[in-house]
Amino acid sequence: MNPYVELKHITKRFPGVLALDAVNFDVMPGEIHALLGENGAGKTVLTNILSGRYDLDEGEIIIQGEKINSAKWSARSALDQGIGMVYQDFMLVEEHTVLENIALADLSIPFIPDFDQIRKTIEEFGKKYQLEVDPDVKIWQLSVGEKQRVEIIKALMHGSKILIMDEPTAVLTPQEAEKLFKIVKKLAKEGTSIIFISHKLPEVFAICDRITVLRKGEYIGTVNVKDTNEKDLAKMMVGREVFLQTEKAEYNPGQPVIELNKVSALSDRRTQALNNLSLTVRKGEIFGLAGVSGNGQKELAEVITGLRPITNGRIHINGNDITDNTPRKAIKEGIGHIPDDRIGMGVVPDLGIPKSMVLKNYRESRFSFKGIFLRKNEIINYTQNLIKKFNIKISGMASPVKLLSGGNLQKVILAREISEEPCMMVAVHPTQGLDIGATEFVRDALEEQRIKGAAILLISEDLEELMAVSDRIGVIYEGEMVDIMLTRDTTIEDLGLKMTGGSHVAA
Amino acid sequence: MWRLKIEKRLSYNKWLDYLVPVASMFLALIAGSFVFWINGANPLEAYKEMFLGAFGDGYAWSETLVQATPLLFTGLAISLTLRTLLWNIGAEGQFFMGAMGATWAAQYFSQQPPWILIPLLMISSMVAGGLWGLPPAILKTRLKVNEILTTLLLNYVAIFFVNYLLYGPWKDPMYPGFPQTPRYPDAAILTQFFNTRLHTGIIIGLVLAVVLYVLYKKTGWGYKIQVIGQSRKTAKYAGIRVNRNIIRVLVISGAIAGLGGMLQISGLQHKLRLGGISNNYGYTGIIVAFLANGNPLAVILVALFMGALLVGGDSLQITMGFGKGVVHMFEGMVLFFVLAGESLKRYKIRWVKK
Repeated sequence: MNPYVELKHITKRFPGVLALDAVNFDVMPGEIHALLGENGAGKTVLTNILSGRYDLDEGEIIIQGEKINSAKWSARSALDQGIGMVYQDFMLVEEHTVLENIALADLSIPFIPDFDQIRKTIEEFGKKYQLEVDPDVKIWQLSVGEKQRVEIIKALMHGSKILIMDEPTAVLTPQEAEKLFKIVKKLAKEGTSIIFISHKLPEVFAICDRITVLRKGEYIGTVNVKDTNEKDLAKMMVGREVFLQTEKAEYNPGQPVIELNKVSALSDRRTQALNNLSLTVRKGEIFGLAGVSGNGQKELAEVITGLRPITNGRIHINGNDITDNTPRKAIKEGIGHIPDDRIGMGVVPDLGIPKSMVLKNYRESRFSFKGIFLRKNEIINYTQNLIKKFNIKISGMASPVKLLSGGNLQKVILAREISEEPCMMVAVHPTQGLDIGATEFVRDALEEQRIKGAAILLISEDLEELMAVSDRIGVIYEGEMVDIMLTRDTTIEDLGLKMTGGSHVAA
Repeated sequence: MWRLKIEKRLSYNKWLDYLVPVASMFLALIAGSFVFWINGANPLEAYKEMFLGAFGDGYAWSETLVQATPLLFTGLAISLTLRTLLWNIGAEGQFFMGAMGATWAAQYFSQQPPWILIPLLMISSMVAGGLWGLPPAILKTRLKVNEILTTLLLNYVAIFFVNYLLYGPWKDPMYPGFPQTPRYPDAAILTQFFNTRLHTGIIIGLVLAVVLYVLYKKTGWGYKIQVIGQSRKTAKYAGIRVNRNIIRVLVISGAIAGLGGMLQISGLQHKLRLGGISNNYGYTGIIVAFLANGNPLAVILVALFMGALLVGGDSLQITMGFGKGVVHMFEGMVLFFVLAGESLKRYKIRWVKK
């Protein structure tokens, strides 16, 4: 059988970076082909070239045996050649119905769309691939998994022969992911090829046929799933042996650090985001918070760090009442915060690293003379020390922080927050999108804080991470704490069920 | 076949910050030459005329500096808001209010000696200009009303309010036919140098530019407003009181523009006169601040350049008989090219073979 698409010796340079170095990649019809690699390995760049979003500097694209003129290769021609993309952040009009969104995606649509025809097609796809969605529901009413299905249908409507899925399970619950896997397998069986970008090994083993591994823009190799194992693959990805099992010190919690007592808060849309939520995190413990995104995790983190006022209840830190919390108060009380929006909130994106390092302590007398003039040399020294201590890789002190890789960016934030010696740390998706090396680093840093006696609230959508790192796990659902249990007393399946409100239904 | 391809830059060299505006200006000169050419003039001749008019001799220099002075103030005022990513389109109105506030003090305290009166004029102009920046600041922080609209609209209120004063209560009884106030008392008039119209205002402006430069680069407050300008979310996260500082910035910006208004009257016009207050300085100041990329020291250079453009354009009117519109057109072209050039900092354009 001939490959549907072949990419040969693809090279792509960005200023100062060799993003792809003579990478080979091919996809057979009806194959599920994983593209595996750490962040910055070049997976996204490669798929962006295949889908016509980036130019390539060198190399060939061959589709069904025919060489493509790479200068003419564009997003539109990729679509015409049957290469579709399912984006991680969905490209949907929230206020429109499923039907309207799908109609919008159809390039051949007449001025007055034949909605009945489209509806029929949606239903056909639904039956054929188990892609059930109600065509008349507005997008905002859908769950994340359903939105993803709409994206898949959109791609199929183009007549896509290849679907590129960029970390499709990153936003899904375990149950939704299972369902997606079924759909993907069905699609492959019917002849659609899937390019499955991931850095989660278990799911790659669960559904893929072949795996291509990239590392730092280099092509490492392509292997059959049958002929390999998780350990070997991890080694191919990272270039060394990895141990993601965090060594945990004994669980020996101390005094309560933060106490939330029946706290309620509103979301940005003025809907009830937190509803009479109570929570205590103690010295020397990592409290993991599980939940499907949008169930109040963001608001909870913001309440503790003072970014969001509460409408009801009380908050205490180390016994002090901070119900009328503000970011300044929270910083003063020693509450550290690793925000999930690293670039938009965690750093000053366009400025050099020193300006992000002293974000919270520039007022201190060691950094400013009489609180007015900044001591530039002190700030630079301080930054240099932290860069060394945290092994942050930078191209220059003055180069904008936003150009750092995800892992190094997170290290900048960690360095700043940890060196403040917080008594409480709120970490929101601290390892999301990070490669294995950086993930290891972040988890170790959290564990170190725990040993030092900090109370840590870890908010994550990665259940395996919560299981590996936390001492206790709470499940949040629609702004309420559904359950709190010791990590050793629960399982991923149990968490998955509770996250979706399953225990409510059962009760 | 070749075609243009636009690509995002992942990083850019610092020298682009300087090269792009200069290149844009150069292209604007080339494009501007068509305007002259269509009007039947030799573009090189016209540019030479403009250059001589602006820098040809001592008098030309002094006139250029006279025009640069108010632009220095409005440019600095707007550079402050630019750093905070706020848009103060209201420098024109604040300039008018400053002139108004100064004139009020000049009339009310006319018996005072200069060392009391001039500081009083400065203070009252800054208060008036600053107050004009306050309502947009409050609306912005409390109700999230876009400051571009509110500052712009307040310009009209200020201009018409001053017009009302000139036609009504403040009209000079000696000349009832003219909408203007009586001449300032001598104690309220600034020194003029070398028998030209150049006045102390330019020195105050230069000092202010240096002060703002130090403020931006060396102080905690400068750092704070820079963080606010970069990312409101980061600023909030860092415990910076964003709203409070937005209000401060808009009010101080208004005060600086207002001070510019006072100096224009006290140093140059010596009375509030319809049509003799601002030559669109508040709007040109936007161009100045933008071209200078918010850097106060660069504002000095750009204000000088724009002043030269105004004076050179005037001399063009006299020597070659062009209308005022030609000069405005040219100014607009400069802005157009510079704005377009800005995008080249973020994107690069390549020719690719089809």
